[in-house]
Amino acid sequence: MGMHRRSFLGLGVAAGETNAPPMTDELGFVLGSTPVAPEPRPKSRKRGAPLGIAAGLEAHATVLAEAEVKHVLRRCTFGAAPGAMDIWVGRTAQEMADSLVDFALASPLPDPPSWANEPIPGRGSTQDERRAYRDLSNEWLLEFRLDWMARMRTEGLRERMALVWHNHFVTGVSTYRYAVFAFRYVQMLRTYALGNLKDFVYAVGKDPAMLIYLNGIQNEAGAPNENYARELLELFTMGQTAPDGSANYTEDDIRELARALTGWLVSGTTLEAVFIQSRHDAGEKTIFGQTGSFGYDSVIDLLFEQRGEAIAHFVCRHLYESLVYAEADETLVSEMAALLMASDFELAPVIRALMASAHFHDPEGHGAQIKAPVEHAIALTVETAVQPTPQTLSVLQRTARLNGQSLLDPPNVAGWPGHHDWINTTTLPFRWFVADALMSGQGGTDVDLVPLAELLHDASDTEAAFRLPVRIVEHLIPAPVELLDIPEITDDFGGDLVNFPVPAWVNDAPPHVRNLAKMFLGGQPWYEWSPYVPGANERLTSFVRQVSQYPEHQLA
Amino acid sequence: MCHSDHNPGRRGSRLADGRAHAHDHHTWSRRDFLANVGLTAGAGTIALSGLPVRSFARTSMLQELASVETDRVLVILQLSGGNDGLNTVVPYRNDLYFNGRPSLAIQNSLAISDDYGLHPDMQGLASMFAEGNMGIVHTVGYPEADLSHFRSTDIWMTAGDGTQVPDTGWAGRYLDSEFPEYGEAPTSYPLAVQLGGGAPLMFQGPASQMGMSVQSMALFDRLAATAELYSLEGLPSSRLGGEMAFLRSVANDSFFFAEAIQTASDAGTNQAEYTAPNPLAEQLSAVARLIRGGLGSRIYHVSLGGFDTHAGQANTHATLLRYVSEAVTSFMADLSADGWADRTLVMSFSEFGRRVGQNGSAGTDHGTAAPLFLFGPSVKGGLSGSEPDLANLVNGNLSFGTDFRSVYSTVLNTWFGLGAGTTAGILGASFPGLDLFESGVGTGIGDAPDIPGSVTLAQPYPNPARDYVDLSFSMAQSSQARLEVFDMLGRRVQLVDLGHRAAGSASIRLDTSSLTPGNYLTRITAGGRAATSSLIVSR
Repeated sequence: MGMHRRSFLGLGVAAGETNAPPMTDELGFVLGSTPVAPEPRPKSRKRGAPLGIAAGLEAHATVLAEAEVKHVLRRCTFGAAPGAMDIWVGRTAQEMADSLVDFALASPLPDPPSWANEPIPGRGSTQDERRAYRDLSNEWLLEFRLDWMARMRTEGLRERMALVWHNHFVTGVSTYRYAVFAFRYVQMLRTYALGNLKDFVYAVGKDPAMLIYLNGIQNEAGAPNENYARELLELFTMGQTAPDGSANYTEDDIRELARALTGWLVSGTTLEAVFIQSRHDAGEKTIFGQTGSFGYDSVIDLLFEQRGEAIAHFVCRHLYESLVYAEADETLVSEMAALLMASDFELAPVIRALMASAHFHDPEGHGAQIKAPVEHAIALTVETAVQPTPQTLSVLQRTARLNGQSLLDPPNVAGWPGHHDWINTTTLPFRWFVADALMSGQGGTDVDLVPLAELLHDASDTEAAFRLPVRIVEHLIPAPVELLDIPEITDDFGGDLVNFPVPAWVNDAPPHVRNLAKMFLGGQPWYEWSPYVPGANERLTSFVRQVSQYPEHQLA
Repeated sequence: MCHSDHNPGRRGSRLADGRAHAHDHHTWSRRDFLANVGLTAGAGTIALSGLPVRSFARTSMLQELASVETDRVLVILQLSGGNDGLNTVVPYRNDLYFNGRPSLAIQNSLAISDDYGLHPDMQGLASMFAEGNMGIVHTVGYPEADLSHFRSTDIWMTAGDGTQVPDTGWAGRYLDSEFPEYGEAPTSYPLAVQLGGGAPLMFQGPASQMGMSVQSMALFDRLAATAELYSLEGLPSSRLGGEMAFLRSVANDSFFFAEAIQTASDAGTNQAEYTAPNPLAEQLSAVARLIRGGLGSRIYHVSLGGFDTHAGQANTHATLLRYVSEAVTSFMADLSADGWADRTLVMSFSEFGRRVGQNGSAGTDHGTAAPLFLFGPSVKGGLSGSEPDLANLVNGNLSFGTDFRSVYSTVLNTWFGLGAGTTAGILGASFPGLDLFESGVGTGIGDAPDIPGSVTLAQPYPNPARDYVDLSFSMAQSSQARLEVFDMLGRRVQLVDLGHRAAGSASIRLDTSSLTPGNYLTRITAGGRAATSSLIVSR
């Protein structure tokens, strides 16, 4: 009670008609409407203890096994593609981390969509023009969400990190509304996702979406709005308390910081942030005990000078919680923070080190994270090597929203709480529904799982019927297959077992081997299985559907 | 009265028709599921045994346990998109109305008073109004109206207002107050059910989601067909083991719920005709089956979209109102066939009304206050609240006369029998009560003599219990009574014969010292009625 579920300006995206667009004056500056200051909701704290891994940030010593390769890909991209194993198994964790980071750093930003620079109708426009723009913008927004999801499939680490930062430097499109701003915001996240944290923080505050979302455009000399200043400290950089438990800032610091950040508006024409000297409070401010006539960049410099260690800890904790486990290991966070400071706040070295570390690769962390809805949906397409049509992506986007993750629109400025909060008796069955929808080709996707079968197991193996099902389960579920609660199937295998007896090794194998094979074959003779017999694809999709309903499929 | 007395006479509801023969229903749905996942084609019997079916043996016990006597049910009917109140309850003598709507004004409304008439496509509801089973509250809204669909819908679902939106739902907070241990010891049936849609904000409680959303009855079938309880034993003590236990217990809970829903849906029948096609009738006929089938859910949420009539409103709106009228009329007739209607209240809401003056596209734009509807024999029929004042508009919109939270407050106080303090806690403040129900409805749940044959069981105290627990119950009629305790596998672990007891309230102390710590269900049965409550034993 009393918390704001969303930080709205009182404007809905598809709201249609009577929400007047933000007022635009003759200079074309979007001034926004009456702000409703969002109050951050503390993220859920029902995580339990940290993982309790002794290993630190030192590099993982042994070469990568398959489970470790999958662990990296599940956590740092969107799922483990079946073809990736051949590339990485037997190489070192450092090689893999470097390769993923270098690829992400080298890959170009996507081209702007055709509508990226369409100006927002200003004060002279008619109601019909504004409505037409809004309708178009809502279409662009959907298109942009689908483009982003499509890139998650193909771009891996870069987009994964963009999503990690979306849940750190949070904005919500319910408030800033327009697709043109959503594009700029995400492009900004991509730009700095593995860049310099200080540059990132400079850029975030001048991002149009952020200026609108946290009322930066209402922050002017003589009438400061403290919303952004407060979240900049509390949620974006240092948090309320330092690692030693002392307070990082006072209410006076927030007030003075807000003054330093005054003067910025968003142009409805160029769609960029604009500095208006007359709106800026150029007077002296005292922040963290330092006095000066701080402006935008100089005050960010001050934050990093005065509270660099706290910032490094706070941001590294978010990285850890996003990539390793929902409850941070403070010792490891300290190691990461030290590296971040030693790298002059370059993020790439920290992400490299974390991905390659003995801590990250400790088995205790494997499978201990719960997939976010978007991750669940995209990973399923990646891990089954299914290429979704735009219509199918649209289904996945909509179902992720119904499961609590509306891309570009987190519930409030604190972001998605995640982990256990994703799962309840509504969302878990609905995730099964999502997997069903994908496997049944909803949205016109051609679901061909024969390539998956070929990549996971030698297609010429005449006993593949007993080996492939286990391989599929191991591929889709990070928990060891012997731990799964697989039902005992008492009926014998189908077909002519006199002339084609089940191989002796199968009878000696653990029960899950036989039960998964029976589940997979569904009564078909084992000796007739090959990925190339008629009905092979139906059997594969049916099996993947069943596997995706194991509770452990939600883990990463 | 008792649903088990009824022969499942399927009387041609559309959903029932689709399912061929009633006695084949269960088999049919299983087979349908199997066909859907491609397991029947040439697969032989092994496919069946390949399905996890271990929990089916427990179905009957779970069904019995889930068949609690529902004291009272609230069905929330959402008219999504912003219903045009003025063309629904038409001020047919008001020139300002006709002036503002040169082409959209309703000319032939069905008079329900000297000043108001219902839209001509609401014949059924006009009759219901005449019978005194429909209440209309004029100009319901809230301060600082927000005209965004999303924001305003959230406001109605959370009982916020134009300045703040809680992050939990009002119904979720109500259920949380009634079932405080729900997060740790979930019931075997969902406390609230939403037909369609995602995670229901309205049912979000402070600690857990108190409701379950289901996409369609087909999905129930699917869940029921695959229902297997996952073992919580033998998991490693690692973090992975902990996360596996968490996910498995949520999966098990949803199996319980799905099974309860499926079982109730199979056991329940429809006793009235529903028209088709009518998306709302599909949902309400399903709700009627679930109520009659004995699912213990207290609150159902159904919705009909399409009310955002910015252009070409006349035909669209007429169709939607006909859907509402026919669906609600059938639903009430259905439940009236055996007295369930007395325990059922339907309340409508829409995120806002629409602008008084029509726009340039023969439609209406987002507005503010609008009438709210209540249906059921317990409802005090008629018009109430401040009439819309078309002479004093704010930005072309009506001022609100009744805060919607006053309606919620009255429903919680009178329908669900909460105390004023509890209600104020749920809604965040006290709101004036309204005169919405027939006299006699406002008695608390603990002693509800107006419900024939009912038996109620209060929350056990203390809970968790150690060596004993006090169970307070009340019976509306004198009869034989017994008290039972079941473990979570559905096994009866205690039976106390209470003998023949007089009507009224009583409390007994139960020795729990011999019970293994864990979750239990207590059930009291009297006069063919039963009520259950969850109990935790810990030491």
